[in-house]
Formats: sequence, C-alpha cells, structure tokens
Amino acid sequence: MTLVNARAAFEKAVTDAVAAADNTVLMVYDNVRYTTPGKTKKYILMTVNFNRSTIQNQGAAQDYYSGVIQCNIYVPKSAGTSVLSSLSEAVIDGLTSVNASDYTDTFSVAPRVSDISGPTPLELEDRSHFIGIVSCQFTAVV
Amino acid sequence: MAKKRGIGQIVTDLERKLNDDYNALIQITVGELGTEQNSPVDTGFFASSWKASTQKIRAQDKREDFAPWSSIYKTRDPSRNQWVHTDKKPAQSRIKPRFEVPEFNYKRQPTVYIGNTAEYAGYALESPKVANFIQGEMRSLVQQTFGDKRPGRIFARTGSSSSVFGSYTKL
Repeated sequence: MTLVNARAAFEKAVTDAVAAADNTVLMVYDNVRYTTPGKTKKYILMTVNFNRSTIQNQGAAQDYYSGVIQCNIYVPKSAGTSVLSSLSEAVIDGLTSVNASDYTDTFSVAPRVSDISGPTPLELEDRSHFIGIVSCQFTAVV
Repeated sequence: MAKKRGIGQIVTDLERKLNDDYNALIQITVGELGTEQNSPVDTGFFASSWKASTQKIRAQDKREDFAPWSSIYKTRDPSRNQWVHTDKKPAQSRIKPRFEVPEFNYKRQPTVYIGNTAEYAGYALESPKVANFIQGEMRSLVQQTFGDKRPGRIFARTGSSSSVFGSYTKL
C-alpha cells in the first residue's frame, strides 16, 4: 500500500495546511467527482502524478516514488490577489512541511518535495475564477 | 592508422560538444512537449505550437487562422450551404509541429526561450501534463544530454591488496 501512502502523505500535508489557513476552501483530489463550485467559492484541485515507482540499485528493486504535484488554486475573480496569495502560501507551507526535521512521518514513506514553482497567476476570459498554479517535484521512499 | 587529434584542440572539441548538447536538449524538449503525453490535446493546435527562440514567445496565434486546425470545429450546413461552427468534439485531433527548431550557439545565444504560441496557452497550464514534463522528465533529460557517455568504467583499489576481492571505489 505504499503507493497509496505516498499519495496520502502529500494530500494530507496540503489539506491540513489549507484547512488551518481557511477552512472554507474545498479540496478536490484526483479522480473525484465534483461540481464546479460557484464563483464566490474558493477551491483547490490537487493532482499527484507519479513518474517513477522503483529504483534498481543492486539486487531487488526498491520502492522509490517520484513525480510532480500540481495544485490549481481557484479564487473569486476581480477581487484582488490577496486571497490567492494567502492560499498559495498555505499550499506551499503544506508541501514544504514534509521536509521539516520535526515532520511526523505517519505514512512511513519519507516524503520530500524539491523546488516549488509558482504561484503562477492565470486570468482566463471564460473562467469564473482567478487561478494560481503551484507545482513541485516530489519523492517518497519506503 | 587514424590520425590523432592533439591536446591543443581540447577547447574547440569541448565547445563543439557543449554546443551539440545544447542544441540536442532544445530539440528534444520541443519535440517532447509537442506530444499527447506532455501537452493537453483537443484539436492538437496547442501541442503543435511549441517554439524555441531567443525572444520571449508570445501566445497570440488563433486556432481559427491556421489550417488544418481551423476547420476542426466546422461542419457543413446543407440548408445554408456553408460551413458553420459546431461544439461537437473533433473526431480527429492533429499534432503537426508548426515551427522548425533553429540551430543555436550557446555562446552567442546563451538564453533560449521555449514557449507556446497558441492564444489559449494559459488554459493548457491548468492541465498538469506540462508541469509534469518540465519538472519531472526535464531533469533527467538535462542529465542525460549533458552527461559524459562513459564507454568503460575505472575502478581504483582502495582497500587491502592482500585479497583478490579487495574493495574498490568506482570513479
């Protein structure tokens, strides 16, 4: 179940940080059905993509997961950037929390994230929300 | 017998190798971005519009202005005898690179921008495919492209020489 645990470790870290910053934000994860929230609501789409699952040093293959996490942060349009900034900061704090020396590795996967890109703001004409994109590479080892 | 190149050519050789690797990386990156695996595809116009340039890339090309993508969302209306827009998802997307990747010189052009010219490129960033490639595979691509290809391996004995199984360190 290490693949499940690796995903859970990152999803929980981000969800906890976002909930602590603003508990009205809806978190949406991969392959979960949802109805696009109204234009005054805030929500985050979190995607975890795995690029690698094992590493072959010598002998048996070892579970070594790596890939990219992307969080699309949707906030009300035409209302300034402060909400996007504070939510982006919460997402970034959640991601980097797994690197902290006092992080409790509940899922036993030694999660790590590397350099974080974003938040890249996107104002798209026919979208009801203002969007910020935060992404980073991750690893998890068993 | 093959003529040996003198050590005096080392700077020229290294510069040529760096330049070859630089161009190979740009070619591979643009090529990989323009695939269904690394770009979201509906009509294929976005995936076909990756470009490398010394200037920043502007996202200004409208799909409707470029064949064959211009006709993908059009259908023939027999009652009016003309082509009209349809919201029906295209049956055939088409990926065909629109820009040739030019040759760059890493000394004269140390900065190269790789971007997408499709007007709606911003929408594509919502898909994690592009970030997945740039943040995921690009790292190993850079390492592979600029890494030395070692034809052999050199080991140095670092442990006791009294045993035939003395420890070695791989250099």
